[in-house]
Amino acid sequence: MQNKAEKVSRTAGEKRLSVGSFAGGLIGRQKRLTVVLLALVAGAALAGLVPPLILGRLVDGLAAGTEKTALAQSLIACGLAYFGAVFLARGLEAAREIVLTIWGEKLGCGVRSELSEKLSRLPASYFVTHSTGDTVSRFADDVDTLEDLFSSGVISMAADAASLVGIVIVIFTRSAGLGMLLLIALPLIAFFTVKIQKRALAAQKKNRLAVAAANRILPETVKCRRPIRLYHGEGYMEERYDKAVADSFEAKEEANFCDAVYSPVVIITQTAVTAVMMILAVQPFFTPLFGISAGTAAAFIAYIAQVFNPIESIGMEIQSIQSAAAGTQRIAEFLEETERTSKARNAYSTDMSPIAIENLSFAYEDGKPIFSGFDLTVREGESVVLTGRTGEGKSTLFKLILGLYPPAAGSVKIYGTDAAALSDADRRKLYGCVEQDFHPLAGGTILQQITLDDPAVSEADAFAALKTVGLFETVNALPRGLRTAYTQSVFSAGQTQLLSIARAIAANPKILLLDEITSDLDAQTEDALMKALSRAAEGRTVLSISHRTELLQYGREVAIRKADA
Amino acid sequence: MKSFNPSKLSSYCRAEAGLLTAVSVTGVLYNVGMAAGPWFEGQLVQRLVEILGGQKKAASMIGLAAAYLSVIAFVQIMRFLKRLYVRKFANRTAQRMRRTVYRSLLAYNFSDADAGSIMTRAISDADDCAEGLRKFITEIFDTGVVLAVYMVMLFVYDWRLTLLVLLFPPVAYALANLLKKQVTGSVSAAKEAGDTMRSRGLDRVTNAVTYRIYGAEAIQNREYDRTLSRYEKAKIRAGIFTNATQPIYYLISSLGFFIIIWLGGRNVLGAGWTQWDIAAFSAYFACFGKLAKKSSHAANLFNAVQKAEVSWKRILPYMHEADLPEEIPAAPGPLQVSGLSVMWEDGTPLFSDVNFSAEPGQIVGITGPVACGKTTLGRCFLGEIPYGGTIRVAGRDLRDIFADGGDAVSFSGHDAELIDASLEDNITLRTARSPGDGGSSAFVSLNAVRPDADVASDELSVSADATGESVPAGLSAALAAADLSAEAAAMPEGTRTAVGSGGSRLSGGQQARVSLARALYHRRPLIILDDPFSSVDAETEGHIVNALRSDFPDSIILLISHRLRYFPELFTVVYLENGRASVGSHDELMEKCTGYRKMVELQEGDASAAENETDTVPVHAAFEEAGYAE
Repeated sequence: MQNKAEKVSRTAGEKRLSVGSFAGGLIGRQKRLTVVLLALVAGAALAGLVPPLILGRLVDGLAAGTEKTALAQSLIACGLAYFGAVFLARGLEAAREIVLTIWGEKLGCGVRSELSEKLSRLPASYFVTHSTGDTVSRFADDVDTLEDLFSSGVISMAADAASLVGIVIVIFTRSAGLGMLLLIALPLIAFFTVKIQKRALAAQKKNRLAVAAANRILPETVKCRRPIRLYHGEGYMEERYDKAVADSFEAKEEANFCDAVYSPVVIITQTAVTAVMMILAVQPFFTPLFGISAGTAAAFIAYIAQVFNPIESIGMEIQSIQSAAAGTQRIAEFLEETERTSKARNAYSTDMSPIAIENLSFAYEDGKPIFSGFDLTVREGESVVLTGRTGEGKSTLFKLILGLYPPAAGSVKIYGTDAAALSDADRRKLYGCVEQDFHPLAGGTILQQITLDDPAVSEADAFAALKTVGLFETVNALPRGLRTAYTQSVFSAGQTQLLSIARAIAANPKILLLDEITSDLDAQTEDALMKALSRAAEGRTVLSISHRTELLQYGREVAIRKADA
Repeated sequence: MKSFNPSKLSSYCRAEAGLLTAVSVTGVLYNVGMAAGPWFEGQLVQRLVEILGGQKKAASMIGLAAAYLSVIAFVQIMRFLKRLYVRKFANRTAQRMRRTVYRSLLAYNFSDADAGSIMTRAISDADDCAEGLRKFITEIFDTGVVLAVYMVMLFVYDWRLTLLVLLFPPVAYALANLLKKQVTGSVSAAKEAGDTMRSRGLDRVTNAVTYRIYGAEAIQNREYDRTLSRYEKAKIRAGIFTNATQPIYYLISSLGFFIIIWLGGRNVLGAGWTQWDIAAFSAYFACFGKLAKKSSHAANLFNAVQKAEVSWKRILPYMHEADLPEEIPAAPGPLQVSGLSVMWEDGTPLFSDVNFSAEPGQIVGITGPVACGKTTLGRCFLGEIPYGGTIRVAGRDLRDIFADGGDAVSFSGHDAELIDASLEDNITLRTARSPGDGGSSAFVSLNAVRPDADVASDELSVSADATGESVPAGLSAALAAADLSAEAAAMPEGTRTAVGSGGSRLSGGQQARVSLARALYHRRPLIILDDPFSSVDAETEGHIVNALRSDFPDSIILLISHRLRYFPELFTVVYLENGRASVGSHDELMEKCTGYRKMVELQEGDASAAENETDTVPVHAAFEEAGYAE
């Protein structure tokens, strides 16, 4: 819980987060684990230095060629020592990888959790201006790459850097000349690495976008299969898809080039360093700097392979970090999205009017006002029907009453409190809202569809709501009753509407908002439903949208017309 | 390309034969060349010993080092080319497979959304499959060829020693196989937990507004956190199993090092099976190191094959050369429905013996209480469900028309089914209006003129709207009929305005009317409109009904609705209740059909009650007003 407070202040406090400081902030939350991990990284790097040293001494011994019998006996000991050193190095590496997984998961899940909390703090307008697909891809793909970043990027890079530094130090102690040679080669490789990575990152970013665009077309094709088939939109859809796939092909080709060229260049450089070292080692002029024994040469050849290996992997890791960087950037951006300003307050008073709208002005876009100086007061227990043409602002008024948008001017008060300032707990006590479309909770049971996992709504409440809407028998007849998994095939379209209503009234709200409730029901069912609703409406305030005046015969009608620009 | 058969994997290889040849040549050169590294390194150490011992001159090192560098450079260039070509191959194959699957998604007439999502998943399988092919080809060379090369080299140096040290990698492999069950079990458990976590995450996003309205955001965040911690545990378990088994495997392999130091050292000292110098010892040692490392990846070869095989099997059903269906206009003419019936799955009738007929230009109203089957009745005309009896259009059985791929029907239903494109493209789907529909010209997308299109582009013309921008012929009429013209004109880019994913930038009523406009643009002999007025107010409804009555002389419109305001104006009314249909004019049904009369009276009562309070436009006035406007 205190974590949450930190997160809020951080996202609210800082203006712009770089990817690095964003990731750094995340890592800071797992201090102890990070320390253990770093210790393992260092230990594994050190242990990795030992085997070539043993090999070098062995080669020197063999090259000297003296005291053959004594050497032959020490061969077994030498072999065991080598094996032991490898054993230690590998063991530490495994331990490092395991701790790394734990560390990566803790951070990855932390981000996921934070994203879902961020959703709660976004203004409702975010969901209108950003496509669901866009937000979904942040939740899915981007967090996945971020998780990769932690589990295989950052720390693996630290491990590689540690072994690189270790090897350079060991080489310097044996041969200052080779050490200097490496200090020339390493920056060159680093420069090349950076160059290639920049290109690769750009290509990957492009590819990711193109793949996402292509993938978006698929569920759309399935959803719109009927008109596509009926009107022969196949050609058009294929054209759209081909274009998206071709874009992704181009971007991928570019990324492939960078991918393919990198490691061969590094290995050629590594070979060049070895070749130069061997040549200089035997030139009398360079002997003071490069003079080495055969054993040292053997060890150095092994080391040079090792010193460039980490650069190669650091190169790859930087690439994977950079590909994750795009995702991370998008997550950081998401977490920086402007948040709702209003603070939840618990101060509503049932003495006040259920809905009091005064002098309301509102516009989605400047210069296109929907409401201007609009007033509406709904008294306790009253039924109000909003009428008017489509697009005149009925749904917008609902959104304002639900507190999804803050009014530009004037006020929308629910029992005396600004609609946007109601706390979550109060919200469900005060409102029930039947949305235009039913939004099923993925993978949930019928009970969950009604409660939305809210523990305050009991099973008895759910049953009562089902009775009111007339779905009780239907649900009871299902093999597992309320615990039946909800799928689209369980209920007809009309019954789904009824379920939506059951969800709205399950928590016994004071105000009932009905958005287009009857659109899917015919007059007779409507009639039965309205009777049930008027029972439920007793002592309750009802506000509904309908193009049909049959709805709520006893209700007061309020015509909504768009304000003049 | 003529013999290209998308359902044969070999076709994809043959299609890229040039690339694959390049991959083979460079792959073999690279991997054979891999043996040069250890060999040269052994020679370099040996030469150093000899120079230090005064047996050779220092200058001789230069030639050796230069040869070393140039050979390795050549080998690495081969490696670069191999990597580039194999990736290009995978990329091309993935593109080809994706397109094939997508095409069969388009061509396959599926009515079930599940079938569609299975095919959608198949597309990601196409990527996996191409990636699997790439890995397989890579592993053939980088594991198969290179292991063989290393082994030959080891055997040449000392075959007895090699037999001995090569015992260890297979032992390691056997052990790894024993642990495999645990590893794969934990990995698949983690994957499952990951799927649950992801679907919960998606749910959190897609239903964000619902959760906000219901004050359930905090509760849902808590539920999501719970799923997350389950996922975290499973993932860590999998991580422990995977990471712990790898080093065990490598360690057993590297017991070979101990043997090499011991027995190989004896070789150098002259006490072993063969006589070695330092070069041989170093080269052998380095080579075995590389072999041990590579052989720990040997399983990759088999895994890659297996993975590609699994994905391939999954996409195989969709890998056909499918032709996209083309528009085959059906002749307009009278509609005759006789003995129409539909059964529930258990065999009891939903409705039976429905008979009615209509002439072009007439509107048939279909209504009845909820679950009476009126939507299902509409679906019969789409060929989506099996039915009894016959439907004839212009004398031809609808089943025969469908069997010939004929296009006799337009449809607009409860779901608007909009794509993430412009208003215009949603309505036209970039198709030409079928000839002979009364429209003067047809439209075809300028960048989509396919040579095989059945209409030549010079027959097509494009008319211009008031803003001077070209619009497809018939679009304006369709927009006007759906009462969308004014709204479309007011949009930022007119009819070119993007509607957003699923039409999200439009209001619910606008979405419904775009769907309606689409059905009216594609004016077919039969136009089925299921509940077109559900989110439309009375005034708009009046405009639309007026247009339907006057603008579609060649079409028969079936208007399925529970809003009966305009039913008195329709030619025939079909009232469905309890599986039976009552057919007649509005007045006839008012007389003989109690259910219909009650329904009408219920709605009329409300309407007249409402008229006293609001400025609702009366039925006839609405027609006059609309007529005047035109």
